Amino acid sequence: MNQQLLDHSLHVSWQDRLRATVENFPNVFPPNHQAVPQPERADERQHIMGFFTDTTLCIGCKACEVACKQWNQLPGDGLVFTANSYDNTQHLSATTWRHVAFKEKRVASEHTADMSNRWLMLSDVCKHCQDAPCQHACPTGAIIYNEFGDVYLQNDICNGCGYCIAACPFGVLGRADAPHDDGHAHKCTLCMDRQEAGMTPACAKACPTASIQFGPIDALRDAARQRVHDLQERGNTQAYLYGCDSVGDYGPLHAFFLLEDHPNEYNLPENPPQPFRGQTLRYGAALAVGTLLVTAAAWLFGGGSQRG
Amino acid sequence: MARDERPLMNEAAWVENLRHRPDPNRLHSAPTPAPDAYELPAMPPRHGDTVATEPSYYDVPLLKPPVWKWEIASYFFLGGLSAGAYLLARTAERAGGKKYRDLTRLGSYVAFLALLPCPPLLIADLGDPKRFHHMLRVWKPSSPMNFGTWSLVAYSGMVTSEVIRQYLNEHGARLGFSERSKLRKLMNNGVLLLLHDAAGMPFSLIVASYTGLLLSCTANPLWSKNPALGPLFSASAISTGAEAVSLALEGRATASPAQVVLKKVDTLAHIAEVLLLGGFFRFAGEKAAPLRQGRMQWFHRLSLGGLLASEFLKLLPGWHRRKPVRILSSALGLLAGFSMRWAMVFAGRDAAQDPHLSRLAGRASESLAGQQASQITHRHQSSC
Repeated sequence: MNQQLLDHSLHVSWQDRLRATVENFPNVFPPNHQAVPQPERADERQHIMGFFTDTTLCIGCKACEVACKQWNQLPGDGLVFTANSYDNTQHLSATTWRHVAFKEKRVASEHTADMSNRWLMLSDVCKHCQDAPCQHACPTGAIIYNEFGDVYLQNDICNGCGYCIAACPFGVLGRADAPHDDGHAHKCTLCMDRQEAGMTPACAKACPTASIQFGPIDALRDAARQRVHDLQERGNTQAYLYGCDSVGDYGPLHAFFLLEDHPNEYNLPENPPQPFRGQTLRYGAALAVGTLLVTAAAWLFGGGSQRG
Repeated sequence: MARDERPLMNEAAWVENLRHRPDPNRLHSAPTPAPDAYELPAMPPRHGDTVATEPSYYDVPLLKPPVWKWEIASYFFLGGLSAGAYLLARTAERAGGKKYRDLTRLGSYVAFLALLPCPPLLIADLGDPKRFHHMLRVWKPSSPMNFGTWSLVAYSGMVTSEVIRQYLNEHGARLGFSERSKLRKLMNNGVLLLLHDAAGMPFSLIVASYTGLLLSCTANPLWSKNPALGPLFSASAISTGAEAVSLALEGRATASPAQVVLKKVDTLAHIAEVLLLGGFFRFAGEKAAPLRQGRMQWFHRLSLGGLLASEFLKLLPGWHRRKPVRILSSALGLLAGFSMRWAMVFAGRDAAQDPHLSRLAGRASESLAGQQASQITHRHQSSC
């Protein structure tokens, strides 16, 4: 269909156009369930693709950052190294969709009497939450769940209102303001264009240690559980999964991690809030207070305090 | 070998070995069976709770600051004021009839004038203003911003038609529309007015309160999930609307009977505001520090102080007969309402950029509601 739209020389009859319009009309009312695989249904879950980022394998080479920036034609972040280590991007932003975090910790050494350095390295990315607050927030319908079960921001619809940026509890989205950029919000697309061509996303393809794994979400979860089990058997008792099943009360992430320390050490939230939970109750409370005051005003206008 | 005799890259022998090797970075669809009855390890506990002892990533903030600035703070104030003025104007006509005709007329004018800058402010705030109409591309009531935009559009229509009606009623004869003309009869038709109010008043209630709800549906430490924000903006809309209409009525030669009632409504709304501010701080707890001691602390103190001063002026004997006192009371109330919204928006930016608070936002158990939430069924990480 996309190819047809691009090919202007192709004659499309008015009947076909009318049929396409009528068939696509329900897509005006989100959420669009037609192509989106529902995680609750086992037969559709096989189509959900995600990332499993195993930080125990990360060597901090930043091939993922470079590949992502090259594939998506994003500008570089310069050479200002953050804090104590090799992090020159600091956090995810509108122009950084893979960010390698380096955390150096002084811990008691196992082998000598001195303290030694322990290096935590994480390739951070958009978490592609199963229940994404950014998708819930977006007023233009730019952020959708695509046919791969990932959260995708359509750049030709976004008008830069900034609500998704405030709603994300991981601080993933950013807005690139004019004149440097187009004023829209941007984030990792999970290389939807590469996925549509049957390819692996750029960061996963470039990762030399297979720290970033790409594939169907169930396969990733099984592999992750196996990996944590192996690590525990080998004596790495600090390894655990973040977002495989759920992060606290938040829900599962389609891009989840294997971490070795508390999430705050990696600049991840421990128990992120779902901001839209309880929205209806809060709406009701706000309207109730307004109605109460208007009713009191009506009583006063009707001469209420002068009666009797 | 000569240069043109060497094999091409993709035909070299060693490339053949790679061609059929499975991609190590891509898992295939056949999953390996998970280990039986394996309980997954849980997240390690936090080793500290204070700024000094808690785990952190070099104090880089975890969250992004919201991109909203003075345009949105001003819109919050003007939109709320407009909705409040409209609500009071319509309530006065419905409850009090012709007695409050001046309030009904001036209230609708104030609502219209306050609404005029609102769409330009909202459009200017967008990152890509020429795509402002994309807000109306879908009907998505689950997004407060979309629902609020549609409500704002509907409310604008209501206010505009009301202003036209009021203007024709007042100046219609001069313009050639007598009381018996079809247009004026249509506009003053009882049934149509009832329908107009049945739609207009709910829309104005939504416009008054949806902005507070929008702030509460974010991950920002100051605003996130705070149930008092929507009601607070609602009460503030009523009070600022009453004060603005009160100021407009001061322009008349004789004191209007509506002034006394408006001041009482203002007092009720102020009481609600103070209670709701208290509720806001109780819910936010430590996360409200940017309002109490940040760069916005004086705006916050002005919002509370102005509100209280505006009420104290009403305790003076014979205040309602003294025009300067009435005007000062209304002006202080308006200043307080604007200051509250300004402080709320900019303190939110500060809260997101504070590393400790942004980590706190990601610990639902810190707040009152969070404690309740963590007592509700907590999904165990072992049942993957």
